[in-house]
Amino acid sequence: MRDSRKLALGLICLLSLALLVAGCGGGSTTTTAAQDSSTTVSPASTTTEPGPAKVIKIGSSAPLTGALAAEGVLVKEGYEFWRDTINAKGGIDVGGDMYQVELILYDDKSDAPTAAKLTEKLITEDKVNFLLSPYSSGLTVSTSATAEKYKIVNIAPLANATKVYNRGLKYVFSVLWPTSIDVSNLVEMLPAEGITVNKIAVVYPDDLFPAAGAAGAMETAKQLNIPTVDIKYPKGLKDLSGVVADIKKSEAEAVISTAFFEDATLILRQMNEQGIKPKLLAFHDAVNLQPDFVDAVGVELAEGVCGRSEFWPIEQYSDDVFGTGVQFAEDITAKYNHPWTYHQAAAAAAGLILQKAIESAGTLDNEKVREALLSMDIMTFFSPIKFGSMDFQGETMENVNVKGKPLSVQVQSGELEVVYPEDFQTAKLEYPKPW
Amino acid sequence: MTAQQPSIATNPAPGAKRAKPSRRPLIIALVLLSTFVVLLPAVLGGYWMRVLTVVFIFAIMAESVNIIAGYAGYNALGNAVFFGVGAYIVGVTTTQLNVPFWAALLLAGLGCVAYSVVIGYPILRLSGRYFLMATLGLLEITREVVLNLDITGGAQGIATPVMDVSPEFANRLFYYLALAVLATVVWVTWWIQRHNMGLALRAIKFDEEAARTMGINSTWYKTQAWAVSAFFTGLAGGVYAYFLAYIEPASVFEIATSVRMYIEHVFGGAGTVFGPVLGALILELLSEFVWARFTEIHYLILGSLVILITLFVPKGLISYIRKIPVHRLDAWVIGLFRRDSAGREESED
Amino acid sequence: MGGELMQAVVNGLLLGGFYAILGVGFSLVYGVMGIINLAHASLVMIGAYLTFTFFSGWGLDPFLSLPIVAVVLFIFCWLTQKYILNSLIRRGFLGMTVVSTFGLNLVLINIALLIWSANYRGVVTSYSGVAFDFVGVRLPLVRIIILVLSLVITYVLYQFLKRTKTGKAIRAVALNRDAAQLMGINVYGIYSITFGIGGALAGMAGGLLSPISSITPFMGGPLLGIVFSVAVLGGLGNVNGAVLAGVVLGVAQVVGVYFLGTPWQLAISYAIFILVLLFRPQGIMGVKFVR
Repeated sequence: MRDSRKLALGLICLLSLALLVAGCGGGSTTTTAAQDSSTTVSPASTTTEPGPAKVIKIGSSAPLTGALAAEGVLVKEGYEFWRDTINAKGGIDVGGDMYQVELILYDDKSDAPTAAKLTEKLITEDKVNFLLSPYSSGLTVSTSATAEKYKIVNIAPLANATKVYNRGLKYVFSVLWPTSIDVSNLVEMLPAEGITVNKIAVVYPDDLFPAAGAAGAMETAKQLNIPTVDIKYPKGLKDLSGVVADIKKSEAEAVISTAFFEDATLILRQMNEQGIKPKLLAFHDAVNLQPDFVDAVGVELAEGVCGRSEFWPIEQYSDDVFGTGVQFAEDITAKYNHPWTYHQAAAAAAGLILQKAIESAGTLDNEKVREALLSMDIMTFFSPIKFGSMDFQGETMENVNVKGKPLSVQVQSGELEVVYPEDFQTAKLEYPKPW
Repeated sequence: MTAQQPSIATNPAPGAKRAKPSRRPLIIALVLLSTFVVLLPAVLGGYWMRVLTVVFIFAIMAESVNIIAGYAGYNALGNAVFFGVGAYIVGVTTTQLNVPFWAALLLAGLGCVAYSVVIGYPILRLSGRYFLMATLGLLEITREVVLNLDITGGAQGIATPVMDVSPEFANRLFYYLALAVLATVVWVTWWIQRHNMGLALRAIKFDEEAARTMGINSTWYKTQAWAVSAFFTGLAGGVYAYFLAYIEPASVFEIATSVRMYIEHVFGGAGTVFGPVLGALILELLSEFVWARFTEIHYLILGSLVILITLFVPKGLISYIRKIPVHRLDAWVIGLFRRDSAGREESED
Repeated sequence: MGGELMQAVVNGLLLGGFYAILGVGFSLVYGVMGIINLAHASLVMIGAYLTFTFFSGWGLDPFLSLPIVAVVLFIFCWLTQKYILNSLIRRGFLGMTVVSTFGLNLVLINIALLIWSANYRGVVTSYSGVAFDFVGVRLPLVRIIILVLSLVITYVLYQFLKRTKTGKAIRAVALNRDAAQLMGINVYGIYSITFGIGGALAGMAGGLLSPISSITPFMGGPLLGIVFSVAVLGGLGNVNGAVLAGVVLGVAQVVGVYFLGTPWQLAISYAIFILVLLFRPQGIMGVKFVR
């Protein structure tokens, strides 16, 4: 007994040591293999030039496990797609030299302290030149603070809550426009399409990003003289019947919610169960995760639900890396074998913006690249990009994309269609929502 | 006649007290380890210093829960409630009341003591399984209360003031601070188990009824134990609040954190002085390596390792370290430097 | 506003039935063997995923696949207890089992992540939205089925424990392990069966959950609080207690929200939890198994 115990202990020690060695050795130059797709893993693709390729290291974290995992994986795909596309074209031109892009990506487990920790790791251990932010405002609040300490430029594809940008941080830049505008778009759509409602119920969990969006919606509604009902609920609830009861009590004809996916689908289902049928139902964040949303609630229930999309394939938006928006959508859909989502697009756009800034600055120096970002005014497949300041409810947000335009979408026959603004419309708004 | 002497030295007369094993190996090990740990920041980069700081924080919490769980037998699976309370005391007092950090830290510890005493009054009366559940419930409800108060910033959390120093300095500061608190709690644990309180706690763990019959005021000792545990856990929380520069209820009152520190103390050796520190060290570092290296399957590997280790090392890691024939090793080292007149190596004790 | 209160009570009852089945497996295991199964919520998650797989792959109705899910999870947990947890208990390390279940929890989550990925999954049946209006109160069909099935399952469990030989053996072991052993009961075999049953119950809870919730590998975490509450409130090891506790919790939560507002929903549950622990730690119905 004794001996076998010692043997086992010895084996475990050996195993742990082997893991440690595997962990320490080899440095940190590999990217993680794609989780459920078949992309190539090589970080530095072979070039036709002889000699060692120069490399730019770009670090990022993404929530590959934890509550935000579904979206985090999409962001990773977007980053990798950009990396592969740009490397195939020879890399980034830094003052005449071509540099290959090496992406170093870690899983932050949807946990802010972990994201901050690995941002520190990327900067101090892996010695990355620049950073790309993780998915969600909650995580980006942490990573941007860390990056600021070390004065490293970080581009955030999908973090547009007020709090990220009103703290006077100088090195974080948002691909998106502030979330308050996103949701406002949905509200503005109503009078624009000639719809009058008695009031709007704004339903949101007490969380950074949803609260910011809700504030935007209520502000816009106030300006348009539409009364609102504020329905805030604690996050982390498994049962939302109380929320649904509040919605019923409000007797609002329009319901706009900034809840995340799980809550959103639950609210929708429980509303249906309780027989609450508003004429307009919009989920700021859940609808654009396709096909998940339609799968989760069923085609019938999803019909007519509105949402917003940060990205839509548009012919008029184009750049020299990805081509037009339509081209991008086709390519990325083909590569990852599932319909494009705006998460991938925003992530790829972040990479693209960084690249353009580096090329414009002609150097890898963070200060110069930062200046290049501040003076940037370009068109991309994603949207026009120009960084500036915006005010909202007395707070100034800096380094947000002031030229981007949110789009309101609606599920029609199981597919997303753009319904507002009209110049990008692909289908007319269906109103009221069929139940 | 000379032949007699060695035999007396090595075979004491019957009835004579057995010689106590030398403390020397332990002291040497501790001194070496401490020197190593103190000098480490000179060679470590910022990231690893931060990793170790977090390891120290978990070690503090594991060591703290050890006092109430490992020694007294009151398994407080929800002990992280004090971590959260400590973090929030620091967070609120430094941002709203402009209290300087050091004072806030002390307040955090004392605040947690007060909380544990007040809440311990009803809860410490519960036995075994119920106490465990009660502490979990306490963790959850404290979180909910903090979430719903305005002064704590609710779900938006509190951003603690960023210190106006270079990142390198800040990293070192927190590293040494955490280390200092860790050293203190280890020393306190050592002191406890050497004195009456340790004896009382062990008696309570073994059989509380019997202990009371023998005149041990179990309530007094239990309350003390939980208070000490709360104090240090609160300090850990306070340090963490500044270290991370941002706290929110969901992350500082997390069941996962509480379970982790409890498990680490069991893992390393409940009811020992150094066990919990070892447990925290091993589990946290292991999980760090695995996460960095095996991103997609890090949970799988970590979980499997944990299961394997509990199967093969169920007594807690420290018990296996004790089995290493340290005394023979020590004697051999000493023997290298000393020879008696007969040319033989003198053995220790 | 009596109608709304009624609706709240009804919603609470429907929710409560589900809470009961969620917690009863955990309660049984903890009560009989003293094992805190930290992987319980992940077992629920696996049950939900299995149900989803049967539904999306073979079109099997989630409620019909319950027996299959129960069997699969029973076998898995029976094996786990037999080869891992029993080994620890035999050598006197009951306290270590919580660490093992912690590891198991991580393993299960990762396995789910690898097999089904992090995408949100759901089970949408043809009758998902159907509801009845009865005396001014709205009764969604799916939730009624869940409540009924929860009650049926717990009733079957209760009868099993009360009348069958194995069931009585389980109760005997819980009451006094050594005496049971002296009476010729294979204690460790009973442990394995009990853990298996706990797992089967968790899996069925997952199956019942699938039509009303999104399924992700990380869905277990938020459920743990409910699991603990139900187990404690009902009395560890007490099946009837679990049912009553679930219902009380469900109703208290929903009705509490009706009076106090949504922000206090979780606080209410935990307040009840603590109060019961303080004033009646053996649970509403008392512990059936003395340990």
